[in-house]
Amino acid sequence: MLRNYLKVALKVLLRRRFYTFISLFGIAFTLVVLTVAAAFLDHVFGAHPPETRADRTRGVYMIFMSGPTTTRTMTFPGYAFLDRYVRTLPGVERVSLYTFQEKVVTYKDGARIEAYRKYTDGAFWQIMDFRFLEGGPFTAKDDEERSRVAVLNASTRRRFFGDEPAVGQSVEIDGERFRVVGVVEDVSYLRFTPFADVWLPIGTIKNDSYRTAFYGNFMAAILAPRAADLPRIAEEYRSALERLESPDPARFTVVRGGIDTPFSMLSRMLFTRKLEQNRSARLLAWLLGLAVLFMLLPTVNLVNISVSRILERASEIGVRKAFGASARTLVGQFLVENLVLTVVGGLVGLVLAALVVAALNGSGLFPYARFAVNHRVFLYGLLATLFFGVFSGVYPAWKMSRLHPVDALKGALR
Amino acid sequence: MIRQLVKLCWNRKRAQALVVIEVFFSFVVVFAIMTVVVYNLHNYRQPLGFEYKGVLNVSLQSLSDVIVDSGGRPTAATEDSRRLLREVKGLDKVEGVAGMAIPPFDLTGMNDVVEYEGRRFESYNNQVTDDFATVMGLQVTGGRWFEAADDALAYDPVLINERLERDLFGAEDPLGKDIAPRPDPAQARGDAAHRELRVVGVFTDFREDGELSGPEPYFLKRSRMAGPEARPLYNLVVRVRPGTPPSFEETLMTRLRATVPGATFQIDPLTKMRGSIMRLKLLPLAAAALIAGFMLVMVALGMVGVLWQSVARRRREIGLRRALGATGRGVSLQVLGELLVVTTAGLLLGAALTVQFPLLGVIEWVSDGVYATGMALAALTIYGLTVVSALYPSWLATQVEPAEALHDE
Repeated sequence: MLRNYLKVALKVLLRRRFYTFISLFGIAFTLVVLTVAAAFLDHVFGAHPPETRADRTRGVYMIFMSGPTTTRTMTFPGYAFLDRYVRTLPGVERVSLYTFQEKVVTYKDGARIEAYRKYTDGAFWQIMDFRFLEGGPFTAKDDEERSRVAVLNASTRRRFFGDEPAVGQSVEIDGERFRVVGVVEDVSYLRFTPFADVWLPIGTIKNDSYRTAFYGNFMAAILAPRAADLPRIAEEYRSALERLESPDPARFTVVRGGIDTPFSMLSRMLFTRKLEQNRSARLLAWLLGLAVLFMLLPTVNLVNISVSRILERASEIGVRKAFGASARTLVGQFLVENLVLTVVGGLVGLVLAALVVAALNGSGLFPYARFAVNHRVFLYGLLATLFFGVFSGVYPAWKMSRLHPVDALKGALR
Repeated sequence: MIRQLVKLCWNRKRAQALVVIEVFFSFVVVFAIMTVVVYNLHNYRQPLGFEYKGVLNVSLQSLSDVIVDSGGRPTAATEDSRRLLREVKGLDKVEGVAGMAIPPFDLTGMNDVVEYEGRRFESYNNQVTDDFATVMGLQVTGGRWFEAADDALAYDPVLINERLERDLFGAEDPLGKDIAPRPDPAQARGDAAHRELRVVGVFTDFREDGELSGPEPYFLKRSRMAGPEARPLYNLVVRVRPGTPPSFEETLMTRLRATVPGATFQIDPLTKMRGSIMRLKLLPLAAAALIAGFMLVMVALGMVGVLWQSVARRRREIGLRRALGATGRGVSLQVLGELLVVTTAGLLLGAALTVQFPLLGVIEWVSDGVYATGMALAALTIYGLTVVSALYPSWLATQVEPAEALHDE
């Protein structure tokens, strides 16, 4: 039965090539856009190296302060705050503090070399799973002793040393000399927790004032022993904030925040009415809503084409009905036809999406980003295809089943 | 003729509904893109208010760290700032140097409330040193620019841009007026004394976010570099002499580091900063336009398909018309006319929706003129699309042979 449906579907599709082309164009285009968008989101928010322990890693990215002269200000936490309230959280495997990357410029043989610099500690390298091309990370001891050591990414090594090995060599960053201890693979600019060109120990920050700063330029990564411990740690953090003593009660007295994934952080920032709440579910709903909204026009278009095609086949349907085919059989046949069409379109779309993604990777618009149509994105794409196929196939199928045999045979339909 | 066409379409309204919906969605999409494009083009053609070519921006990151640390109290960093200004000015390739709080072509901004006779606005602002107008080529059109003698004033002198002048004062003379907001009595704290912001001049504009930013109210405060109220600087702008090679950047960096050892400096030509902010703003627009373009191609192809089918199905009707003396031209005009009627119905629906945005003031930064232009361009695009997609099917309709068509079945 199903084989027959498939055979008929293919025959029908090949008979009117122009209609098939229009439908495939619409489906493939829609899926290219959805798949590329999914690849982008997956690249930014998915669990990719070096953040391989994403399921039990969370971050403290922002704090929200309010008080007598401060109305709900959102800011990066400072070193003093994180050291006192996050590093001391009980039941945590590791905590790492790091700065938001900042661009520093070095001049070498008259050429300008730009590099993003991140200061961090020894624990950072144990929470993140960097792949070292040579050498290794710096340690907590390096940080404590303020050793002038640096980890570079592969591109920065090439800029400074060509293709030579760099470990043991000295490199000038922002006017100071550092000894290279390790070189890691490039990390995407869009992964803002691990991203940098150059990683240096916090202890080597030139000006010690960061040590007493309550808010400023730092963030923290928290590694829990197990993913199941995260809710408890979040609760500990919340109660620590409630007990917090403001260092400047004249300006702010209340500090709020949470431990976040990058996605939940974004949701807090976008839905700012309740800064202190995690709004991931709402952000996800918005994204899905956007996807459905985007699919509306292609769907209407596809429905339109399908309906036109049925009308053309009215006499065929009339004959089948006259010979006793039930409405259910006909609906089944038409849905299968539509699904075959969408699956073919989906495959074309995925191939095209892979090309678009390759072009994006080659364009250098996002430094070091390697977008990929991986199995997860492929799955999303396939799901979207099926949804799209059923979504756009139901109305034409219903319409088809409603054709009256007599009208259909005459080929007249209002 | 038109009434007849409308009637023909109305008779097949169920079949046409889908095309109407399609036109409706296409119109909304094209309208959104067109409005943003027109808005950006309109902004791009407004004067920037300053001259960015030949200016280097120097960010004084570590000095600002000190400011955060000390809660804004003057520190050694203030003395460092003064020395930096002096040293950079002394370089022979440098025409002028000024300090400012927020660099141009940077996405951050300072936003504060200003008030005059009950009119309150949020206005972007910046804090700059006395040489700023010369270095950046600002045009002062009324009153005066800051001067060294302002150190002795008991109030804070400010210059406002023409937009803020219009918003706040209308036709009134702004010079000498105070624009500091009155404290809200409910939240007033005893020790917060009112500090006057007195307008001493008007300048054309300083659109710090570049040509694509919208018209914004803006004012400039004076950075005091002497006396107890002096504060460290966050940022310098340096105008170099024409013909200075790019390698001067390195010379400048060496001098900066020698002046304040241990501080972090970042030098960027303003042309480069402008380039990256342009890219940042245009990239999403380009992506959206590309997607919308493909969508339109898809819609056009879809319409061709629908029309083709409709012509094929109405062969007998067309054949009859031809037999009764209708010309090929008349028949093809009918096909096109019917599509135009359906398109118009979709456009009217779309316009009914989109006209709500300016009426409700949902997106208030877009002016009504920009909306209207966007809507007109979107309607034109859709009509153009309709005509193009009707070309082939309407030609097909003229090829119907009356004898054959009537013989059908």
